[in-house]
Amino acid sequence: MTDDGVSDREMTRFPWPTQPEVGALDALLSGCGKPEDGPAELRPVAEVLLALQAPPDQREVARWGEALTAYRATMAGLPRMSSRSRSRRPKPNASALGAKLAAAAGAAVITAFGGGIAAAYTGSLPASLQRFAHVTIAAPAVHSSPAAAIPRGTGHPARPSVTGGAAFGLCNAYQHAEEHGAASQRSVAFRNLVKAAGGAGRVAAYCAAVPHPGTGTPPGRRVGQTGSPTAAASHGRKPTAPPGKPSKPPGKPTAPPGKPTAPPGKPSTPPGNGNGNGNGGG
Amino acid sequence: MIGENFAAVLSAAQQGDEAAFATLWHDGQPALLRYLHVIAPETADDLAAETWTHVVRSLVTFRGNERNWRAWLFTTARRRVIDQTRQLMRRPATSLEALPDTVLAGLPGLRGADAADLALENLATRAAMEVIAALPPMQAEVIMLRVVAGLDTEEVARLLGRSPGAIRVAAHRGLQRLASLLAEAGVTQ
Repeated sequence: MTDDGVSDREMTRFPWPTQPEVGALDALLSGCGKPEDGPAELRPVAEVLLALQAPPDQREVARWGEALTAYRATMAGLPRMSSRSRSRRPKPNASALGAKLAAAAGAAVITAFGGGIAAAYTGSLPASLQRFAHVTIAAPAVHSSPAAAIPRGTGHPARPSVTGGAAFGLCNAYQHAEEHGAASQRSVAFRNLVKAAGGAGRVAAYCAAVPHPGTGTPPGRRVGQTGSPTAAASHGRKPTAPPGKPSKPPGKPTAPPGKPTAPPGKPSTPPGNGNGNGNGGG
Repeated sequence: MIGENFAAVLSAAQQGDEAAFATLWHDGQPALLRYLHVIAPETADDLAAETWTHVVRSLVTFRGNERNWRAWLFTTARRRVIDQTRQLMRRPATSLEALPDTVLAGLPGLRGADAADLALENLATRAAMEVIAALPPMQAEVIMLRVVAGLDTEEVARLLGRSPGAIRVAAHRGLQRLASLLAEAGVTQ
């Protein structure tokens, strides 16, 4: 047995006289450097590790539909509340997402589907991608409550109303369309909004008086000012917190990091139970 | 990894945005599936689906950054494996002693007359997983969590309930064993 615990049996299997340096092994584990940069005896290992990280093939993402079904069912079963009211609950970055961040989120989707992966995804996600594109470039999608993800036939109105909670979202959408000259500005919903406002020139004033749905937020906000990630994206506001960082210090979230605050369902075996699949370190 | 957009994607997914959830899923699923294929090869697909079902149930209450997310995802997956293992009372991976005959022989190109000429660039991901799965289970799992899941030593230690030192040793031993294994099989650069 060597000092670092490698058995003699293992040592005899090495085809080279000395063990690879620990630093080289750590570099492999961290994904640092290219295989050709490491020790020659570790290059085959590096190639294997690279192969482990290759882009996914079609089979690996074949069960996306199943996951989506579970997601829809779960989200539909949540207590009914608007996406906005849910977003007001304390959570990292929910109110700090700016234009670059949210737009980049859309880019992340594209990136995730890019290159060799694209072929695997294009057949399964066009609707979702389009929906996400709406989220990142226009406000309407932000109003898609969990139930909005459910296909038609669930009793939701077919198109936005200019009254009630929908008006808030419609105002945001209109604001975005106005700023970007979207063709959707001529949609029935927008025409209804203009009509309700008493003319295109009065939409801003009309929308300023529309309260935040479900919260009684006082009127007077700027059109499009929703505080939601996508709305912020639509209007180019800068995030109030650095992208990618929770509003609370890492490691000190309201709940233990990496864990849901209140895991539903039956308690699972806690991590770190020493099970390790019943295997020693070798 | 999603990167700096993670918080936005997570937030959107928590609010019911399917495309955002698709981003989370497509980012995590391949690594998750590969990890499960190594530690529970026969039921990896079902375990992955089960993992996502559990994750989705708690998604809206999740708090944390992307590293926390990855750790949570793989912790959830591992719990599913443990639950299953308890039910089935079987080991999830092959033993090292069975290696030369049962694993390497089944890997086209890794053994045989032309093994030395194998171009490793063409080594398939599945073949790589097979080789890793042939390592002692603890070493294989640590390597998968470090390399595929992208977790650091401390995160893996927490996930497996071991000390960081034990994780480091297991990882090093695993790589050394892997190097030896590939050399024996005639796999060269």
